[in-house]
Amino acid sequence: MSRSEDNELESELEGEATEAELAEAAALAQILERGTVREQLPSEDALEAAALLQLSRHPELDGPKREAIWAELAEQLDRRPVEGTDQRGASFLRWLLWLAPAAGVAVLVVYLGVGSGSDDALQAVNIEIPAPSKQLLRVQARLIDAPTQHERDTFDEQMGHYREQVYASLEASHR
Amino acid sequence: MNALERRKRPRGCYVCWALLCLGLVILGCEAAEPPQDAQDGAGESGSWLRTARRAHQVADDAKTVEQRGQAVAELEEALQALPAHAPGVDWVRLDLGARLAQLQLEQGDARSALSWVQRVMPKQPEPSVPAANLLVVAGRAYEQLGNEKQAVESYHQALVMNQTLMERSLEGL
Repeated sequence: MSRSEDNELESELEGEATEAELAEAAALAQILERGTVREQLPSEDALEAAALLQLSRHPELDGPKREAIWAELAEQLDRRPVEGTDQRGASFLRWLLWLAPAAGVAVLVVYLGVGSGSDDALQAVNIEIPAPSKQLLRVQARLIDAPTQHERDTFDEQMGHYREQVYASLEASHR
Repeated sequence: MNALERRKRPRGCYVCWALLCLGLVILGCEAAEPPQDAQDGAGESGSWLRTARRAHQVADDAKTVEQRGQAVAELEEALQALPAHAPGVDWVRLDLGARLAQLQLEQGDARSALSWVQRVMPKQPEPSVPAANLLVVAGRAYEQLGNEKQAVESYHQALVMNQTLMERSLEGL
């Protein structure tokens, strides 16, 4: 492209970017992952992108030149520091790339180190329920055969003692 | 493919990598998390044991209809507070269930009693005193509901279980 042609094209680009041009710029920015909505594109980037887009579509430009302009546009936008929420997102992504595997390894180490210990703890509290007394079992058998209020009261009393014994055993094992 | 489209690739790879790592972290966390049973059994065991013990105390002291109603509520609460698995919890569940069903039976509510028996009794219960108690309560409930066959079967199972426990006790001498 000659110098005169460049001047001609640049003259066409003077003035404010139109709404349509800005929309195109925003769409381009989305392709470049510099922002997902138009508002997130820095205004300078938007104007430059709009200008270069318009330039690249000039009818006098052939395929290789258009491709070169697109490559230049991509390179320029890539070099420009990203601002606002985009920058924070990129920074977060970079941290995530390091933190995620590190956290995964840490969790696995903790699991391997402590997991077996928790199994031991469970086994330690796996206690045996105290055996019931023969007296309680005899009263229970009588209660099944021929229930009377006296048998009921006797059984409740015996069962109360046995229950206390079991609970004391459970509480001692969990301490 | 133009220059802009070619530039999209690396970012996509980074995102995939990040997602893969996140998945690894999530899997690791799930694996490293102590089983709920272990937490219940070791960490909060004092809590459910205290609740169960208090419920039995309320049931012991219940003399009036109102107090028995309160005891039923306490026993229900204690049953709901039990962990699914913890050392000794099966025994405590059967005992609370038998006590609760017995109280409901004494209040004339055989259906609720039977319902609780069915909720707490495992399909193949290990012989124990509270399991035999539950079978006795089930027999009484079936009797009240006019189901003699099921009542006799429950009493028979209770007697067999009682006999098994007695044999074990004698073997231990």
